[in-house]
Amino acid sequence: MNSAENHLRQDNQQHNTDYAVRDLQERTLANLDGDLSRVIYLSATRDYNTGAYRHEGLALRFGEEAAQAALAQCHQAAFRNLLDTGLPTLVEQLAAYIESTGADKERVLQSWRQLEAYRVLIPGACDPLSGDFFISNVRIALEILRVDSKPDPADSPASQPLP
Amino acid sequence: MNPVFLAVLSIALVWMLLLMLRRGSEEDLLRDVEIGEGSEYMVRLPRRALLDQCLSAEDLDYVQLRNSPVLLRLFLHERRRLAIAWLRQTRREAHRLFRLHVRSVRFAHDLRPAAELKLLCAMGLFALVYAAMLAAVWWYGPLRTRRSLQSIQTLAGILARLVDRIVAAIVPGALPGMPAAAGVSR
Repeated sequence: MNSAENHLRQDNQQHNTDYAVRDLQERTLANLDGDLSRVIYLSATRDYNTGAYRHEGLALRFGEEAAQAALAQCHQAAFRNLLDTGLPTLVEQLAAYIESTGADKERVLQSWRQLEAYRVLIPGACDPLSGDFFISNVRIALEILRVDSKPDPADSPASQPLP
Repeated sequence: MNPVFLAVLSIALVWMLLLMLRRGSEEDLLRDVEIGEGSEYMVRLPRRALLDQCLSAEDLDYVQLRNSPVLLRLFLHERRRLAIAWLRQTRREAHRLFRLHVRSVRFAHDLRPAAELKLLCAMGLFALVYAAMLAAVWWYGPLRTRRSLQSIQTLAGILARLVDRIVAAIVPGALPGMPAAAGVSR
């Protein structure tokens, strides 16, 4: 294959990916409330063994390669937005997500704290510091939700040691 | 200002500087192996927005509203840890670029002493601001006032400008279109 053909192929691939990104954003991600829900949805389309994204509908319309690239791109964008979000918004989105699962809030909170399943939400191309920052933020957000729902006796000023 | 306070601050700064130099040489040896995998000239600075988030006064206010000592301790510990990690990563990258520059100009025919001196000054200033910032972040916790956060933000601005100057001197043209991996480059 000569370089002109190669260039044309790359251009086509890029166009396909752009269309796939737009399709994904308009049809699916727009219906999800908040970047946290989007990140959760997008990371669930990833095969945890290979790290490859899978979405049959997108792959049928735009091809496997473009679908994967679009999912990865949207995952990174939503994750980046989440990193730039302040703690109050993150707590709000986390509470809304837990509410949307329909499960018992206490149980979900405990499971998230113990299993730390939120670690799988980090995109593969993310640098370690950003990943660490996200994990830390979610941990703090979970603690805030715990305090809001059931204050720990250790938190009461009376139980603090005297200076 | 109280002379005792000034003396303590100076000692703390010198100690931080020594600690930084000693740690730097150990960590840099490990770093070199990883960097060899990609292009050496790719600038991998942590995003400034991350540090701003670490030192966010709004987040601090939001946590303090809960009146929970456990939560506040967790928040301050995490944010301080991440801010220090950000600072260390920035320093590592600045040192790596400087070493790369020293290596490449060692045999250069068109060496410009004035430009080299400027770069050396920028590196010296960087080390000083870094040490001051590290000390300030270290105290973030006991001294968690809006004013102390503002001082750290000011130092972060100075540090960012110094890094930009160092990067521009070592990797010309890198700043407008730095090769970027997601969440890596600034």
